Amino acid sequence: MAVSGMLKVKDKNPEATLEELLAGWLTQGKLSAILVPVLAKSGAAGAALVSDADRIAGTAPLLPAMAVNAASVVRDIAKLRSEGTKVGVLLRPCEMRAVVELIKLRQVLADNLVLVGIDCPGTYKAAGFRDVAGTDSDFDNRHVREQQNYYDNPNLRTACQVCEHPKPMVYDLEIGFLGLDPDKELWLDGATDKGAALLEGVELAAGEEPGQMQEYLKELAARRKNKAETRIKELDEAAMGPENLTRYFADCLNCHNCMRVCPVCYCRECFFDSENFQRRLDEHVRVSKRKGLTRMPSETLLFHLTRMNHMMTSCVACGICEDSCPAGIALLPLFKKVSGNVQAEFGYLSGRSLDEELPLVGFREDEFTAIGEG
Amino acid sequence: MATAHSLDPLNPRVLEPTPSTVGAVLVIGGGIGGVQAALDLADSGYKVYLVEQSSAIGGVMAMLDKTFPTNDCSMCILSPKLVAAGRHRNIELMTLTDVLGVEGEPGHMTARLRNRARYVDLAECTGCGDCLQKCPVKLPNEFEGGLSQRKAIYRLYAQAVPNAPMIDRDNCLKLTKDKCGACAKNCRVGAIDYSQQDEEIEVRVGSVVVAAGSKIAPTRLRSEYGHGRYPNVVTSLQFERILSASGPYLGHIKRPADGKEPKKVAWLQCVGSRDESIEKGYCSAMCCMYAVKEAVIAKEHTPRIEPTVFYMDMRSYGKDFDRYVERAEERYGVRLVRARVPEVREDPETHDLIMRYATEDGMHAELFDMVVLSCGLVPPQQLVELSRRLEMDLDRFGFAAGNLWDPTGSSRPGFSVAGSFHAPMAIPETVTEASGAAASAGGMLAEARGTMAAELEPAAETDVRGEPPRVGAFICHCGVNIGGVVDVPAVVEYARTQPFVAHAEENLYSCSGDTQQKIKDTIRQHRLNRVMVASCSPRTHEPLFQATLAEAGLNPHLFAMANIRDQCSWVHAAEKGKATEKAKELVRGAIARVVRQAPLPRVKLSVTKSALVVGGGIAGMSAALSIADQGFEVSLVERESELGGNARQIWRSAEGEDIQARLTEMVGRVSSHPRIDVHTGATIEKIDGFVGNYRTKVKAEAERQTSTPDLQIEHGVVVVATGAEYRTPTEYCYGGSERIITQRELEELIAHRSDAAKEAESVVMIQCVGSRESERPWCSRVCCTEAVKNAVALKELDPNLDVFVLYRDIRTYGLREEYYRRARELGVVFIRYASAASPGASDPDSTPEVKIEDGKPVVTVRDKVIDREIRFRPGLLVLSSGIVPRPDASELAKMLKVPLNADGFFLEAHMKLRPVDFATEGVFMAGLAQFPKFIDESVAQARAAAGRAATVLSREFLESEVTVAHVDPQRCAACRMCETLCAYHAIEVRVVDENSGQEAAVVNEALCKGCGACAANCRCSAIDVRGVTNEGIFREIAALLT
Repeated sequence: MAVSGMLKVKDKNPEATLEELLAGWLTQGKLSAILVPVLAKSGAAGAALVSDADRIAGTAPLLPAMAVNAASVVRDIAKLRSEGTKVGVLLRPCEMRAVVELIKLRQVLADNLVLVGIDCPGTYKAAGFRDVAGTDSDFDNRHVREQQNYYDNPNLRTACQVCEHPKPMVYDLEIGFLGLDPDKELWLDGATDKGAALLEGVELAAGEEPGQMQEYLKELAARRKNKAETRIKELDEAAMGPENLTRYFADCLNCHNCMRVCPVCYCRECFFDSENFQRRLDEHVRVSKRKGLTRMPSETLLFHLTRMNHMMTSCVACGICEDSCPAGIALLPLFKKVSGNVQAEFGYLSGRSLDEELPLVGFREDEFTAIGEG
Repeated sequence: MATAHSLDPLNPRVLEPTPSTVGAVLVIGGGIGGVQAALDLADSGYKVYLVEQSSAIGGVMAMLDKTFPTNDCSMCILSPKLVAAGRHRNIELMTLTDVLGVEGEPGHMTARLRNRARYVDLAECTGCGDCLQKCPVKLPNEFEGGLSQRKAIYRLYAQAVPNAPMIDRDNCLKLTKDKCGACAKNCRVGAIDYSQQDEEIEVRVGSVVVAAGSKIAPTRLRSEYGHGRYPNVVTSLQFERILSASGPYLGHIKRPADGKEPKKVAWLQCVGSRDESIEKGYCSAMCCMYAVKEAVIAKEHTPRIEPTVFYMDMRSYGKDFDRYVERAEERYGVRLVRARVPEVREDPETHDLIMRYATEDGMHAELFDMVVLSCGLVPPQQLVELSRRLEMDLDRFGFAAGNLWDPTGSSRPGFSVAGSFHAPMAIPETVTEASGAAASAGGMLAEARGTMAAELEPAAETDVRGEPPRVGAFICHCGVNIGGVVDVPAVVEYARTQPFVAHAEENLYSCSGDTQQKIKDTIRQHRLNRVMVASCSPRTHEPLFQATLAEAGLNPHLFAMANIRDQCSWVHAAEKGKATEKAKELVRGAIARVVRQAPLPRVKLSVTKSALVVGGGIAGMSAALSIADQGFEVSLVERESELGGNARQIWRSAEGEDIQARLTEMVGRVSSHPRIDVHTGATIEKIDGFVGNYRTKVKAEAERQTSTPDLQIEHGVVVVATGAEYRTPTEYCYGGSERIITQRELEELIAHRSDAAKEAESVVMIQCVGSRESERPWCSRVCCTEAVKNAVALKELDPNLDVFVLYRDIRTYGLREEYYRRARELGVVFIRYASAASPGASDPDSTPEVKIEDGKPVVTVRDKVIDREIRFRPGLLVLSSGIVPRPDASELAKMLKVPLNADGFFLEAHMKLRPVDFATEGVFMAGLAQFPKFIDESVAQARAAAGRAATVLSREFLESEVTVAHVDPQRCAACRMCETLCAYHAIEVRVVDENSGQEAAVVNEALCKGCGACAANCRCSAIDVRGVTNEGIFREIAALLT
């Protein structure tokens, strides 16, 4: 049974209002624990699994900084079957989409999870966030309050600047504020029984989803789409063709950070870390003799292309790979373009729905008929 | 092969001793029908003599470019079957062989055969083709429809089995004038033997399968179309060759007259079919579909081509055929014109063709660049003579007509028939009948099963595990094929320098008998534990070399091949130096791979020698009887309280048979058969297991049960024969008046209350009620014949009854055309109401309108021929309602893990060549569960299912594939992509560690086919296919790149 409505915000402090709501779920025993963004005293942004309601006050549900895609955390804690516990996970839209992909890929078991999605106007890079936020204790609230300013904020993460999906698409419960005045009210939508159960006893002004939310989203999506197109055009100039593509990845250190932080990369051991890529010294010499020189580390481009090949149908373009690249390679535009095109070919959007079949598991006679024979 | 030499024709040698019942079968005809029957029999424990009159098996299917409705390459799907037949230990292939006669009774027969001289020794010939190069004689190539030339020594077609050429003795200079001899001079293995003589051979067999085929109607029957006079008029078979990449024009569509690419191409249907004036009154059953297919493929080849098909009725009556025709029109722009074409003329200047044709709007004239005659099938004179020699009766057209209840039987006991020798039919029906004929032939000889067939006994194997690799590298010259381009000695020298190579040498022909022996000796002498052969294609030669390894005591998977012919010398003939370098690289790669190969042990699985048949209609009962007659136990499960299925409501067949009488007989036989256990009022609750080893729980409904309520059955195979249903019409005011009935109700009326039928005075029938429309786009296949049957019955009851049939296309395909003709002769009036050929496109303006006035139906229809509205007030309005799949088919499908098609009918493994199999091994189907069909077709299919089932049930053990997928649980992330992808349901994710709850994919090796779909898709590289491992591939790539 679905329940939805407006939650009144106290003291023009939406973050505190949310903290109270979250703490309530723990004290009332609705949840055993909840995964929430936190900002450590040191200024380091991250997430925490909170089981004590008193510790909720130290969290930051509206934190506009992203260190990891929390889907990676969810994958790490909820892959194995477990019993007798119910854990809430508060996720940004791109994190939620990655979790949806992971559920479909059987890397997350959602049985004991309650998926709480929260609107996101965009986030800052975790590194350097303390310089942006300074000591402003109201920074999180200001960020959601001043949504109009976040259409074209050049300080946001590049992925966020071009993100067209600032609202969760799959959730048990949605916490919405885009297009609203978050100083006054927050939109809560318990779409499933699990979500509705969390709203039991919560005082809500009942009603439909306000129209202004959709209008705001339309505007935001349109502006970001424009921006995304511009970025992809720049990318086409920089990376098109084998030579340019090689140059694009030229600074790669082969550290595989991008793979490690990717929320939808899920192998137990990366193929590129396996012994298939170990060669004898004489073999290396033979490779070298072909051109007289091999660049070391080798096979970096093959690594990126393989990862792209594996992840394109599930990539949510969260850009966490780009944030984690010590060489500063602009991975996001490339992955966004390729995943967007690939998913469009299959009529698929990663994380849009739990029911949509993963593109590569279904065979349809009529697809890609232009390729191959006949 | 039969190797009897210079036999005295008066005193022929008997090849086999004489046991009581002979466990051998003579199969006449090496087309797809004969090959399928031979394979099924040989796999079921019988010795097979497969006799083919030409120099290679393959028949007409080998000439086709693509096949409908899947557009599969014909040769690609046929070739593996030909190779399997050619290599089968229980099949003796006898090409260039005529059947002179067969004497004796079923179980004990002697066949007299004449083997004509090939003049090429099959044991010596390597198939290299060197002999063909130097032959100076040029003759029209019959296989290519005369569109190209062949030599006097020639191979029937490139992929011919056997691959050895033959000498055309009427045109060979050596044999006719004792000159030339170039082929013998050019043959380096001495395989040419001008002294060979024809010889007579006798073989002892227990039964005979005749699948001798037919040929296309001679175009002189319709000389007004100018074939033979106008070069740009070709037959449909010539057009197949024109389309074929291995054909006379290498797949480029050209006009024979001038080599120009045609733009407008016309197909003329029914050439030599549906034409009583030339005594070809039958429909050839396949031409509509092949013409539309040729049009589609032509358009795909050359988009500028504008294809037009001129037809009488579009007979796309098979599964997914209407969809195919619709796609042809909509996606490929194939123009379909319902017309009669009186003649074709040629503009002698341009060789363009002027066609006049009559449509419903009148006469038209149009210019075409090319005209294709869609020739029907006719029994060739030599087969009529063969039938006479075999003492088999033919029908008036010359087909070996079967009967409704024994469609694969013939007039002579012990002789089964299949394919277009029996009646005009396409490939799936031919393959079905072939498997059915195999079941019949095998059933007669059940007691002698295994007496003459050899089981494969693997040789003892040397254990090479733990030994460092010792590779033997054999580099082939292939005559001049490779040696003429690649510096083979240089490649041998290079191979010697590669790691782990213990021996390297060159061979003139690696595949010749003496070289095989030499390789075996070398393996032993040098204690080789890996072998790499650099020669031709593994597709044709890998099994041969693997057998050689096995004979030398090495596991056959310690082998790798480098294709330095197709991938090197053939494509780089102009750059010899570079070709040699490339050959070295390919050899280096193959050696790197073979070093990593490991021995793969064979796995044996036991077989429960009994079958479960689901469904007790005609198909289920026929399958049960045929399996039981072959000596296996059967459990037959029927959910109704009585056997009989849909047939219980059919009274008379179009052939005039009393269905109920025969049905009662059949039910009696099934019920009393000692090997059939009947469970009526029972349903399947759960099916576990896999081929050879199924366990099924059957639940009997208390009030209808005939067996214990909960039953567990163990069985080796399953036959799905759950049937389909007649649809109750919701249109045309059905139910609004007792004068509006279905075709089935009319049949009952005629059978039981013929007076009431007579009183109707006039009867109107409407065809395609609920069929061929957007919601149910398939043709129900039987309704036209049913309507015609009932129309004839009405006319026979009372010639004064007016009978009108409102139709879209009359689809009395094959020999059923006779009933249509009979109906018209009796004065039944046929009125066409729709203009479009394709389904879904039934135009609403032309659909008949039915109203009820004063309790009587009033039918209004626009007659497309006279373009006028006609109103009927019939005494009876009869609706030809179609056949729909069982709504609960999906439940059984889920239990068996087999697919349904989009319409809800069970989906066979391959529409053409595996028509009664599922992709899942050990599960077969028959009857309406697959698609609507007639009783004889159901029986044939049921027997085919039984024949296929016997290939499993006759084994003591099944050997699972050795090249199966294997999962490394440490790498597996349990994402289940493989599970969803596997077509054979051979892999699933399970908990592999109870303590940690860790899941991983697990392969069922009995079901895995080693296709590699899972391995290719596994992102984690957790899946490997044994014998083709990721590591091996990577090592090979690495070696190739360095």
